[in-house]
Amino acid sequence: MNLNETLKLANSLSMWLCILPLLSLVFFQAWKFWRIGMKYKNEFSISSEDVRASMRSGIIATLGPALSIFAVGLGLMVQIGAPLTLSRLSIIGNAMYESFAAQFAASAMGTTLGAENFTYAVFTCCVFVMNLGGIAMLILPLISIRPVSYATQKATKKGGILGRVIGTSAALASFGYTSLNYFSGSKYTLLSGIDAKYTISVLVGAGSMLFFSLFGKKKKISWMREWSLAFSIILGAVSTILF
Amino acid sequence: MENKENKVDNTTFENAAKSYYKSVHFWGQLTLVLGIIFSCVAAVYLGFIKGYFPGWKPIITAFLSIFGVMGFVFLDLPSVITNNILMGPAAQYMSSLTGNVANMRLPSALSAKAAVDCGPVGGPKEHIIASIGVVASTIVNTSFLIIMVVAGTFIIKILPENIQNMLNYILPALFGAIFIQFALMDWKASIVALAVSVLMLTVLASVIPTSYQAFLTVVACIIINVLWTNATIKKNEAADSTEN
Repeated sequence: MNLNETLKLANSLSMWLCILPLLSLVFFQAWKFWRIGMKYKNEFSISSEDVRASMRSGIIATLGPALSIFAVGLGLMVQIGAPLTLSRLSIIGNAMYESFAAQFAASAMGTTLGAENFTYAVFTCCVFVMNLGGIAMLILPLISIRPVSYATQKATKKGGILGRVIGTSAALASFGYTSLNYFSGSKYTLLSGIDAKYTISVLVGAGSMLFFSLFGKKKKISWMREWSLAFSIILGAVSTILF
Repeated sequence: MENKENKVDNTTFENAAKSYYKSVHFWGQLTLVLGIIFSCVAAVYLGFIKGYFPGWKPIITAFLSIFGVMGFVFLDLPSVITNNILMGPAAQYMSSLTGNVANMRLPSALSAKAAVDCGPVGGPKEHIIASIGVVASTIVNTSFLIIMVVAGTFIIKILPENIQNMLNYILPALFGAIFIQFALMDWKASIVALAVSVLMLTVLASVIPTSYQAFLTVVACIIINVLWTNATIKKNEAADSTEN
């Protein structure tokens, strides 16, 4: 028994069948929440144009990042097979965690990913450890979203204007912090030096957004509001090639 | 938002909101439980039906070592709170199941809200708009992954290397751009956010554990901006009363 045979198992029809319920669940859940949203849209005065605009924005915001996890996914695919990669990246989908998990599982079995003695049992150990981590990550949201949700609703309901301030502040703080953290190449401190390419991509992304938003508003170009994010991301990423 | 609330009869609005959130939590928790159960399918099949079970010892050893590295993610209540404020429960249940919260779900929820005239936080309208953004994001992302496993190796081969490197800079540009979207809504709050972030990443960087920095930035920023807004409101009221 060797690596090739294990990879055959990892890419076998039965593995695809094993991950099918999980993959279908992702689509089912999206469909279900879509239906719930549509059922109540009139009650909360959401127009069909609102629905289309938010769908388009959701898609545009996802395109870039979805491309960027391609590379990690491919690396993982070669080592643990396509079905497991697909199921792990579509559920929880923390590519870093999955790479760690697969690596640790293999080393607990005294081998490593891609080694010749990557047996069925080692692969099974990877499957166990990766999915255990996935389960562990679902437990907190399962028990905490409901109570947290009711608590924040109470807090934001109190004052209309303060609720707005809380929302804007939370968004600004989390995106501002992450953007600034990128200046250092995500080292969690700006004191150890600045990474030029990351800094440029953040600044060009931010600058283009400022331009598109103000320009679109002034000239009353409504489609620019949705596409401004896509344009800004592309400009931000492309500008790094020039440096 | 305020205009619409006045138009709609308040009790029907309240009732609709109540039953909306009730079904969101019901389906959200049910799908997460199903996610936990379905996560076991492959493991049970390989381990117990095919009989390749490696024994609990390596599994637990490996799991514990990951817990050391990634354990904070399993217990990350601060993120649950922040995400709840930003996107509401429906979008959050989907994000919990499909992951990639910070890099995909949050941006799509927030830009959906930015594209529609509604508040960045708040009631059922905002939460539904955010959830539509996340539904679209989930479907696009999962379809991309399916394409990846089918055609991925081929695609990477034909992409030139500098394009592949460029993919790394998509996220930073995205974060910078979304920051500006919100800064345009409230530039005073954006200055506070930047100031707190700079402080967090310089003076406080070595004092506060990295996994709490983002959360504490959010909390500090909310507190400062709420106090500031309150002070402004009081000042305006005082000015009004002296005029009268």
